[in-house]
Parts: sequence; C-alpha cells; structure tokens
Amino acid sequence: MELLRKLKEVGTSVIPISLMVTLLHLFVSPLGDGQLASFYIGSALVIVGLALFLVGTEVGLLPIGEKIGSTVTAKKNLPLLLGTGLVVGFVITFAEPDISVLASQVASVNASINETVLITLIAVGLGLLVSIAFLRVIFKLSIKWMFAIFYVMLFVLALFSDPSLVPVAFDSGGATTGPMATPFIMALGIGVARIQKKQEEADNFGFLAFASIGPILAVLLLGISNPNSEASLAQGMAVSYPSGNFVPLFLEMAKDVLFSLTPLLCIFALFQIFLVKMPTRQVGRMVVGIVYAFIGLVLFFAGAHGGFMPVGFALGKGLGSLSSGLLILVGFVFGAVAVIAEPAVWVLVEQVENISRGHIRKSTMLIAMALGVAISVGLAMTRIVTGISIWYYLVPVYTLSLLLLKNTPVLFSAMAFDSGGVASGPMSSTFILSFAIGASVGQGGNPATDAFGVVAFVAMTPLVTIQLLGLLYKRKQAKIELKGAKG
Amino acid sequence: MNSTLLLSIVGKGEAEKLMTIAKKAGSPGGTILRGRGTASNALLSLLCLGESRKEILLTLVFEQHYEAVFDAIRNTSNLHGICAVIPSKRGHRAEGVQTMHNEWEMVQVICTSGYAEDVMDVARKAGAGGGTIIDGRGTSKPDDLKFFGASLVPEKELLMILVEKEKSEKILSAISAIPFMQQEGNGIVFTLPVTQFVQLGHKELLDN
Repeated sequence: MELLRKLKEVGTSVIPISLMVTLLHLFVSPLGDGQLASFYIGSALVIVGLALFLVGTEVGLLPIGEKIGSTVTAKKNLPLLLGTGLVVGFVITFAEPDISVLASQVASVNASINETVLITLIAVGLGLLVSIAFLRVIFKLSIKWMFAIFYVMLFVLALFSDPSLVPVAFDSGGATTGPMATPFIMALGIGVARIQKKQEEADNFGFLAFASIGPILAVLLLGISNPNSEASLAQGMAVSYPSGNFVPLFLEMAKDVLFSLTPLLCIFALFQIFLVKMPTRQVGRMVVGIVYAFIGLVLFFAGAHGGFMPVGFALGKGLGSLSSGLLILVGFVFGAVAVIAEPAVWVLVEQVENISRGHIRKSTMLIAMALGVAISVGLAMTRIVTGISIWYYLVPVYTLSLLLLKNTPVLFSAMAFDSGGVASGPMSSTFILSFAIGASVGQGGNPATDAFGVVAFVAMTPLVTIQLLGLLYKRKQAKIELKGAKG
Repeated sequence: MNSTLLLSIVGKGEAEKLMTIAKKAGSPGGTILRGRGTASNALLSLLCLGESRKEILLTLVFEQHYEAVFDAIRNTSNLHGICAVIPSKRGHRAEGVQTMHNEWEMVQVICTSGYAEDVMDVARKAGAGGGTIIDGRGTSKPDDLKFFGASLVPEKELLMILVEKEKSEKILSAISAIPFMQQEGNGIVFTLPVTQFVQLGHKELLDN
C-alpha cells in the first residue's frame, strides 16, 4: 500500500537526523531536560505527517493543479490563461502564513516600507511570473534565456536597492511558497505540459522557478523606492523556543494550515464549477486527498516546531560557543539531512522520477539536493562566524549557476531552478533557521542580521548541484551512445 | 511470423528485474510503461488508500522462445503481479492468428482522463477484481487545436482489467452502458484474448 511505502521511505530519511542529534547530545553538546524526548516525539510526528501529506498530495493537490493547468490551456484563450496565473499567484501569496513573518522582517530592516504595500506587491509579482511561466510554454520561449535575463535583472536591481534589504529579498523567494502552494504550482506546469503535442520533459518544470523570482523582484523594487531609513535592528527577533507541549501546537498549526488551504480550495471550487467540471467521483477523491494532506501537514508542523526548532536552537548555541570549525561541519551535515525532510522536496523528486519515466531516480535527485543544501548551510555558518557580506556568496554562486545554463541539458536547468524554491521549505525555516540563530547567539553575533539570508543560501546551491548532475548525465549519455555506435 | 505478447503487471521497480529474467530465457527485449493499480475493494477505493504504483512490461517473443520465456517468468519468486499471454502476429495484422482456447480476457478501456476510476467502479460491480491505469494522450487532428506556438492534444487514460471469459461480456456491456462512454470521443472499450495467465510470486498456477 502506498501509505506504508511512503512511511518506510520517509522514515529511513528522517531517522538519520535523530541519530545525529542523539550523538551530538551524548558526546558534544548535551541538550536540556526533556528536549531529547520531545525531539523524538517530534521526529515521529514529522515522519507520519510527511507520509500522510505525500499520499494526500498525490491523490488531491497534484491532480487538481494538473487539471486546472491543462483545462485552462486547452480553452485556448490567452486572457483566461494569464488571468489564471495572476489570480492563482495572488491568492496563494495572501494565504501563506510565512508572508506576514516576512513582512515584519522587512519592516524591522527598513521601517519606511508599508507592510500592506509589500504583501500586495509580492502577490502581484508572483502572479505575474506564474502567467509568464504559462506564456513560456505556449510561445515556446527558451527557459534558459528567461532565467538568465531575470536573474541578471535581479542583480542589477539589487545594486540599486537598499543594501540591508538584499538578504531579505533573496529569502523571500524561498519563503513565500509553502508546502501547500509548491505542489500546486508545480502541478499547474505539469498539466500544461501534458497536453502539448510536442512533448518536452523540460516543459513540466520552471513554474516554481518563476514563482520564486516574483517576490525577490517585488522586495528589491520596494527597496529602491524606499532608500534606507533608520534601521531598527536592535529589536531583534523575539522568538521563544518552548520544548515539548504538542497539544496547543496542534491547534495553532491546524489554524495556520487551514488558513493557507482555504483560498486554494476556493480556487478549486471556482474552476470545478465553471471550467474543469470533473466527474463527482474525481472531486470526491481530491477532497479526501486534501484532508490527508491537511492532517499530514498539521502533524508535520507540530513535530517540526515542537521537536526540531528547540533542538536546533540549543545545538546551534552549544556548538557556536564551542568551536567554529565544528559548527560549520555540523551545519553541513544538518543541511543535508534537513532537506531530505522537506515535504516539497519529496513532491519534486517524485515528479521528476515520473516525468523522466524512471530515468532520473528519486535517490539521485535527493543526493544532489542534499549535497547542495549541505554546502549552503555550511556556507551560512561561515558567514555567521566571519560576518562578511552576503554579496560574496550570492554573486559567485548565482554567476556559476547562470554560466552552467550554457551546457546543462534544458530539463536539468529547469529542474534546478525549481528546486531552489522547493529546498527552502518549513524545515529550513524551523530547524535550520533556529540552528543559525542559536549559532549566532553562541558566537556572540547579532542574530537579527545573521538570520536573514539563511533561507536564501538554502535556495541557491541546488541550482548549481542539480545542473552539475545534468552535466554528469549528459556525459554518461554520450558514452552510452558512443558505445552503441561502435557495437 | 507468429509471436506472443507477454503482458506483465508488477510493482514499481520490479519490471526491470523481470525483463532481465525474460532476456536470459530468450526474449529479444521489452518496453516498460508506468501505471497505477486501482484499489482492490470498494472500501479502500473510497478512502483513496488502495492505489499502488505499477509497472507494465510488454515483451513480444517468437514462438520458439515462448515456452522458455513464459516458464522463466512464471517461476520467478519475490515479484508480485500477473502475467497475461496475448496471441499476436509480429509485423502483421493479428487477424491471421489462430484463436486458441482462451479462458481469460483482457478488457481495455480508453477514455477521457479522469473517468477511469468511475469505469473501474462500474466494472467492479459487474464482477471485476482490480485494474491498472496508464496515462496517455490522444492523437487529435493536426490543425484543430493550435494555440499560438503550441499544438494541444487531449489527455486519455487506458484502463486494463483481466477477467475470466464468462464475466467479460457482462463487464463489457456494463461499461458500454455508462452514459459518458456513449458520447462520441469520450471512450472506447474492447477485449483481447488471453490464452494463459499466471500470478507471479505464487507457485500455484491458475491457467489451464
């Protein structure tokens, strides 16, 4: 049965995190009373939640997105297509619980920016770019050129924007698409690609990549029109880290998830009534799937917040005050294991395996992602230790990923730019972020400034590693063909 | 030349293993499709928990290799699934094939995407066990679905259900009677004769 299969898969990838935390607790940096126990409970919740979420996504969220994507395209009505992109992007942004956190972060860096204006602009930006993603497939525009143009544009804008906003802007790309929105946007693209007569595997991807450009663009633009004001960094981040107590967490998380789910449901209902008109049996299945995904996410979030966040903070603080070298090393390993527990990552790698019909295996993709994020978190720790500007990281890594576009097979480039937004999900914003904040406290730095940019780090390195994986596949393919020609 | 199509449906990741076995026994090669198995009973189907990933292996073997390949496939352990034997003619139309005695039939339904589950529900009520669904796309006329640079085609689903021959008539008419199957362009249903059928991973044989 699919649920058992998922439990096994997810379990084997989450258990290494627990083992590692146990080892660190025993030999390096002991955790407080009850923290380890609630971490174990948290791990169990994360495993069960993730498995349930994945089953639900497959039965519910993905088919809905695919159906909307393919139906809207098949109507052959350009305004409808663009309107759908705009509305979906707009609604999803408003529904994201993380967006208000982001808005208050921005306000803490640049007080002259109005939060409502910011959120509206991000929503419009995201919607506009989802529309552009639709257009790209219909008009057969080169995805590589579009990535190159957009990212160069982002960096030019960043030069003129308020410097303190740059890390926040790049964070926002990953932060605005949560675990509900990510599969949905991904599925839209798959739906559009599925009904194309000329089947291009790369057409299935790229929607998420464009979706994460939108928010960055919006924040940077606001930074230009609101040049630096009195930064009120001193207030810092008033985050408390209670351990254990899962019951109130369940309720809180249920409220959050419901909040982000409702608008999606409204979109689905509207499309079902006026455009898609699926048979009742299918609608029933999708509703059941959404219920599974909902329960799964609530369990997952409760586990991540109640179990992982406190431990991340405590270990970061402990290691940060012990040794910088060890901090970077543990950050590296935590990066690798945390990305494998990201819900959206699993959805992406499964889609990759499906679309390539088993050619690109799930495990290969997971390894490439894990390696990428491991490097990310390692780098983020070096930034906390040395305190050097985020520009020294963003510019070389993005330059490299744009240069790689030239030779990487287009499928891998499209997947790589999608995976950036996928890698930076709830695990990085709970476990990794609190680890970084803890590390900053331990090192005696300013957690408010150090914390910004961590999500951006997680989102940028998969761009490089997935494309490198593509180059590897290309070489392997060339060798096979050479052998075939000889034999 | 007379050939036989061996159609095996196994769990995810198992088709390649089966192909290796078939190749050793003389099969020239095969094609792997990905599909999903429907729930085996109505309750699991209602809960949407009964689905599973499947792989379909199609291998066309010549008459002289058929016995060896089929024996090799039937004797594999630690694989779970079925293998159906469908008579065919390689490179020719199949009508010249002498119809052997067949106790099983494979019902094939091609319908507009999204309806296969409903068809399966109807088939289940008419006596079928479970089925396997493969996603596909139709080949519409070249110029009727142009949209700027893109040509669009409709999404289709192929549902395969293996049934005893005496049940197939009832299932076929039940499926044909579904209202949407009667609308033009929505779906077709046909059967293929299955001369032999074996459940993989079980030693006891269910054919002849």
